[in-house]
Amino acid sequence: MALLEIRGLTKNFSGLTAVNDVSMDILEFEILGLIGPNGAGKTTLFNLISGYIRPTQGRIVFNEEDLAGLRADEIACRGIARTFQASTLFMQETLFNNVFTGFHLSYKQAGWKALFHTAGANKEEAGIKKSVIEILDFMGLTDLQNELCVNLPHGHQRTAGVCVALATKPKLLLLDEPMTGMNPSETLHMTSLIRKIRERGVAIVIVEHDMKAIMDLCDRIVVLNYGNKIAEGLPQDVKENKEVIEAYLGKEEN
Amino acid sequence: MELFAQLIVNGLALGMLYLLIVLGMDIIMRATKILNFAHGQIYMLGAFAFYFVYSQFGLGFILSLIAAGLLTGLLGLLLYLGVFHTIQKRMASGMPFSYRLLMSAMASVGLMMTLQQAAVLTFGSKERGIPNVFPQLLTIGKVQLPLARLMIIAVSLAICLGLYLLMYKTKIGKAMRAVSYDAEIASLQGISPTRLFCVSFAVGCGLAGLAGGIVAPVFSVTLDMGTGIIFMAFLVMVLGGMGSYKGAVIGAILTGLLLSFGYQFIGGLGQLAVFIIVIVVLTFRPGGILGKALD
Amino acid sequence: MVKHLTKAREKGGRSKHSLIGVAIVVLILIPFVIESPYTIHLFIMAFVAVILGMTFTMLFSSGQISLGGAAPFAIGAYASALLTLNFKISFWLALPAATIITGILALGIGWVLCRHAGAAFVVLTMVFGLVIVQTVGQVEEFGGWGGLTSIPRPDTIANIEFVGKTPYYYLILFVLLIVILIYNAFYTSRFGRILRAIKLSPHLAQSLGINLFRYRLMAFVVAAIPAGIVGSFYAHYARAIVPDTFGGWASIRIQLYPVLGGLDYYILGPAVGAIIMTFVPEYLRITKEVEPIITGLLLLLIIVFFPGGVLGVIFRSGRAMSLSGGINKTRSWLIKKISG
Repeated sequence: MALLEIRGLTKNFSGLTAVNDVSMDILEFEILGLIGPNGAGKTTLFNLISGYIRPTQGRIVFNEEDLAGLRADEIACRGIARTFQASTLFMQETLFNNVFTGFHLSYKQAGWKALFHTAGANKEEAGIKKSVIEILDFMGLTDLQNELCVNLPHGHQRTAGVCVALATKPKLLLLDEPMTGMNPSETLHMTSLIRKIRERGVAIVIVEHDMKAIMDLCDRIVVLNYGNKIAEGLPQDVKENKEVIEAYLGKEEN
Repeated sequence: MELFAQLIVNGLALGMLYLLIVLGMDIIMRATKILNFAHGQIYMLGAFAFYFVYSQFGLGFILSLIAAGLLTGLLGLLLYLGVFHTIQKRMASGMPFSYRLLMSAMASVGLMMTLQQAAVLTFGSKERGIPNVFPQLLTIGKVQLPLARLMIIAVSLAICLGLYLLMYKTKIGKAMRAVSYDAEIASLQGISPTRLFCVSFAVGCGLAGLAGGIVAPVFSVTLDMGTGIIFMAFLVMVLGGMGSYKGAVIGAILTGLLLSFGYQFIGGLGQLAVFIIVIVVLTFRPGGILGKALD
Repeated sequence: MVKHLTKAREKGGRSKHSLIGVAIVVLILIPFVIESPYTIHLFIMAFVAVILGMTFTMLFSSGQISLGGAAPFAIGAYASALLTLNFKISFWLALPAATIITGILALGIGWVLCRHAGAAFVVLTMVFGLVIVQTVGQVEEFGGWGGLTSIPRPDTIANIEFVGKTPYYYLILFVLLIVILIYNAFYTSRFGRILRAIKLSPHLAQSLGINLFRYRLMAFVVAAIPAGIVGSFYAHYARAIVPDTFGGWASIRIQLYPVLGGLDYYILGPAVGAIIMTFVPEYLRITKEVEPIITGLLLLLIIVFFPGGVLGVIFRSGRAMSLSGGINKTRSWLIKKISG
């Protein structure tokens, strides 16, 4: 039973078909690479899965539950987290507070208890504080916890975005170009972090242009071009797939 | 039958007025993301400008109207550069985009009050009327219609046509239509964002001024015409959908007709009826009739 | 219930608590020290203004701007006045009743309004504010444009007669302190965090499971209720209310208080702004004609040149939440101004 099943997913934007009849499975604990030339529909696919836009056609089933019509926050509740192509953080807040906010879904105490700052609520907050530190340690950003995110260097911002997404305790994590703008050593670091995340029991779909990273990391790869899925399979198979090569070469020629 | 035709004409005239004003606001909103609360004051100043040019310089209707539009457009330009541009520059990049919106909106509220009170202090509370420029009634078939209202419709249509040509046929017009808040597309066309914002703001204000100028010879020029109209303009904007030009057309004409008929049959409650309709529409279609989310 | 009587950013420290304690004692002693009833009246109006300003900030803390801040104020005032005038019930019953009515109406209005954000919301709040005024003005049963008069004073309670200004003073001071406590509890709880998240990035907040509509609605209602309470208070203090008091002009003034004081300071900001706007015009003998233009200019100038407000200028806090630029707050604002 796949963690996420996508069947016949299509999205039209007044004449432009961004995603065309895409079907795929994402298995538990796998790292799936989603690649394709610019404009292939990868981010649109992410937006569809995470609930920011509605499909024109098709189904998305997560954990045997149909996600049709659910809002983005409802989908986050169900265990799908994502990062964004542009570093999306609460820029005017500290890294610590960013990740803290990520733990929103962990709140169990009733609202009025939080309001009255009861012992139970305070304990919950303290517990979350610990969890924040734990994630920051895990991702290696503990030293920067009190920095405003707007002041963080680009690479750390990307990592911070992943931290925040992790705080929602997802079963599926969608990473949209996490390594953009990173130098080789940062990329390596991020690669090992992603592996560690998978070890914690999270399935990961990663959109990236850095082919080496993709080949290293991914168990399987899906290739999109102009909204269509043109290849799916093991990294080495996809690498040698003629259509895939054409798709990329074609773009280069243009 | 004659009553019906008159109500339609009244409604259309009112609707066209609202349309000019709302189009101005939409143009400004779309390009600069500024919610211009001072728009009503610009409208009022346009009426005053028309009055002065017409009565002091005796330039005739068309020229006075053009003058009103140009003067208010110029005012818009100055206001943008003086007030809003500074705000846009101050906004640090890490700021949530909504801040720029909120700060600009609040600034325009301040501007609204400043302009209004400045006008009060400058012009005093004397009502200014222009001897009826269009007193005649036009007879079409068996029906007598007020020429003034028909003139409003005609001139407004002409202005809309001019606007259409500007927006669809010129380079800067196309950029104005297409611009996103990052002004990326504008810069792709080779137009600096600042220039784009300035032009948009000026055009938007010019439209309001033209609307004021059109109204001046038909109704009197008063100091509270701005505050009255901005409210309805916002209603129309929200009804038709913020940022949608087609929505503005539908919303404006619909509102004008509703008010015209409403006033005839239920008096002052006609306005209330329009509110309720807007609320109902918004409950089921939050984006307005044709709205796109500009958020 | 743990009491932190601090502004939204907790700087900690005993000195803060004792400062606030002193301020409270001073406020309690004022009627004993000040003789002039007019001055007491100014204090009362200042307290009303502070509470109203705080309601604007509550909404602003969720990223929404309301130009209809006077609407719940009007609802509370009219509900309370009508209840006491038509049904002859005591103020002490009318006050909670009016508050509940305000809350319910706010829930209903918010249900429609809070689906929108940004520009649409601003416009809609303005529309609603004016709708309320139009409604009470057009409908004779609500008093029409002439308004309602002879609104009764609060009944004697615990042997305190509501004659003169002093009892009103303590009543509104009490309300003010309660509202500050509750709002502070909000801001320092997880709700404060959530609202801030929605304000800074609704997009990101959604991906973290935050239901934007629910919390915006919550802020909307939580903002409306104190306004309703002071509305009721105001009706029985001024004992005559007219629709014009609650018009767009009032909503703009309400907005000005936090902007002038400093938008980053959720409790202190509106307080400082309201106090300035209430007392300074008196002492500068600003006439009624000039006041609107001064207000407008002030709003304009502050946003353009001093977006952090008075407190922003005074504190130039190291924590960058100021609107004049987030990046490196340790540089003085003067340098920032010159360099861009």
